[in-house]
Amino acid sequence: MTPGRRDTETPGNLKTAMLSLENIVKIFPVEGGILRRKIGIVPALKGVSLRVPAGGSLGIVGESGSGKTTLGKIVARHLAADGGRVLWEGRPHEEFSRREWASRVQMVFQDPAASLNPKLSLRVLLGEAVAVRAQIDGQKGPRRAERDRRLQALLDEVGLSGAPLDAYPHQFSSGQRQRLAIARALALRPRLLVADEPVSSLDLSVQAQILNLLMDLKDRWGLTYIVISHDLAVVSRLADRVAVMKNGEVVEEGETSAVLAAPRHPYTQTLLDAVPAFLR
Amino acid sequence: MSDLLTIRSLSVHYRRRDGDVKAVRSVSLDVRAGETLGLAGESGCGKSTLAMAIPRLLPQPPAEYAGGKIVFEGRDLISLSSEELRQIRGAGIGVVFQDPFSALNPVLTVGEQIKEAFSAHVRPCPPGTVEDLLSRVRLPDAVRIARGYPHQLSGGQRQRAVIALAIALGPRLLIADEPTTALDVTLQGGILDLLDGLKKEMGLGVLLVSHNIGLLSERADRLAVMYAGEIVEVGPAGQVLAGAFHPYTRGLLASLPRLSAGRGKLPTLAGQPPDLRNPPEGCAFRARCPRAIPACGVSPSLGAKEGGRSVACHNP
Ligand SMILES: Nc1ncnc2c1ncn2[C@@H]1O[C@H](COP(=O)(O)OP(=O)(O)OP(=O)(O)O)[C@@H](O)[C@H]1O
Ligand SMILES: Nc1ncnc2c1ncn2[C@@H]1O[C@H](COP(=O)(O)OP(=O)(O)O)[C@@H](O)[C@H]1O
Ligand code: SF4
Ligand SMILES: [Mg+2]
Ligand SMILES: [Mg+2]
Repeated sequence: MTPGRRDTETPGNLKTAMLSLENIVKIFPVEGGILRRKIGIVPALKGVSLRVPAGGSLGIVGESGSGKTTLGKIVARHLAADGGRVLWEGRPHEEFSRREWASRVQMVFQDPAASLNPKLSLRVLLGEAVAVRAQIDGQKGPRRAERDRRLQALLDEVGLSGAPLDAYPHQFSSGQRQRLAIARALALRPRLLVADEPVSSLDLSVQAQILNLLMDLKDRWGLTYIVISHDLAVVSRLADRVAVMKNGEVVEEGETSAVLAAPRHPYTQTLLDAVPAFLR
Repeated sequence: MSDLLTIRSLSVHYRRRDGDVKAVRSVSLDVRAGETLGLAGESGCGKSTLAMAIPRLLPQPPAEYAGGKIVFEGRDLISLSSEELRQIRGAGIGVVFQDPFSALNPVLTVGEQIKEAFSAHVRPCPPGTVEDLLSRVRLPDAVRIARGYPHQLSGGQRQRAVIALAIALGPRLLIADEPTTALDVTLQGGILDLLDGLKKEMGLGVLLVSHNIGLLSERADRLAVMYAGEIVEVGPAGQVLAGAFHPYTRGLLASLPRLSAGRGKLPTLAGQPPDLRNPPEGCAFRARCPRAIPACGVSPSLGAKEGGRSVACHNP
């Protein structure tokens, strides 16, 4: 049993869980010297179990290096776990092809500039994702006029109505680039969106806009979220449940309001104390 | 109370082919001995330009002083010769940057760099000074750190070494531009505690620049809010945060997610800051301001209110 877990409020039973993580382990090698020989290991995840019901929203908080991004990448299959199981509606992820998984789970990263290929115009950047989704659905990629119409609709969704499709990412502000990154993820029509620090690189007034966008999209698209953040206030806005990570383990998990009101693990209290008084 | 630093009507522009960027526009601001003045504002509003304009660390060109004065301990820094300035930098004003790497010389050990700071000011560096400085910035194991090169230190240690260098010659003013932004969140508190401690021990005036209002709420005695190259509001930090006067400050504070507020949409500021190549006539916040009135077509000046506060607004 994970310490600090509130057993009275199980996060949806196995049947209803859309995504389940069972005992996920991830170990990174530490390389050293010019020959980059393996000189040690970092146990980044030491047996993490979590469940996310369809339509739910799970926040993951914890200090730097606690394993949040690693866990998010494993969920999105950008990384393979070294142990444990990732299940989609009870089926192990190995039963899904890469593309099938991509049409279920998409990830948005902290730094929108780094996650968008600067050499690709919006038409190519978003068009690729739309074409992949069409293939998954067994359709031919839409023709140019139809595709452009769909891309414009996608830009409408993220508040970038009328952005020229032949523009490049660097022509946008960082907040707009984060909207683009979200649009590209949505182009695959995923059901689960993993957002890793989606606002921490953005200006304060832009953070609120992106958080609002994420809230809107959740309702409009019926999305399920995993929101990773070191900022408890951000998580309290977006997540109905929260998992607190420390050193590769979940030390506490529960309903967000309950965890914030009465943390059970001292480490959760430390995180709460780190929130400036006027933002409590 | 006598001011350590007095800035009056300072304007700084960057010359650019597609039009000059008016990054600092007629700013007046004071920093007093023994206080931390927090400078808040969103990216591109001119915080770093203002902070680096004080010790004249901006590259000229493209930067250009377009008016006003910067009086440090009674001398206008803009009119000083480069030799006089060199003496004031380090000995009078210490600077800590966001990126600790850029402040350190990669080919010298930490100890060598501190000694060099003394010799550059033709001052003796008595034995034990290096170790003493490193322990004052709470770097234990001073001997090992002094012999280390910058790349051999962790991010937090590196920033402490930069702070040791900044205070080596006993400055009265410390300018810290986003000193913890590049650091892991878990290390930030320690660095800010250190700056607080040095402020008290040395009676320093600190100009702490940050885009992070949460951080400034805990570290600044007074808070100045910058928007589009101008200071729009100044006052004791607690009072500004509890009841801001300026519509921009109010909008920004309202948009911050708070723990207790729970779910639901956040209020947002509509629109974007103006292009500083072409700032609008009148109040720079007018196009986004819910309280704009016809008078706002004329630029408001920073006017004093009760309790040591001031605001630049026609209809606060
Ligand atoms: N590709 C990698 N190779 C080696 N070690 C890695 C790699 N990726 C992550 N790690 C290590 O795994 C641990 C967890 O890292 P992870 O990026 O998941 O943390 P995080 O909680 O997302 O931190 P942050 O808040 O800084 O983003 C850390 O010790 C990290 O150094
Ligand atoms: N070297 C430079 N040349 C031209 N413009 C610059 C230069 N440095 C900054 N600017 C411009 O000046 C304005 C203020 O920038 P800066 O002082 O860095 O803001 P902040 O520190 O608040 O983010 C911005 O519009 C920025 O693009
Ligand atoms: S001066 Fe006018 S436009 Fe500017 S902030 Fe005040 S009310 Fe708004
Ligand atoms: Mg991370
Ligand atoms: Mg800056």
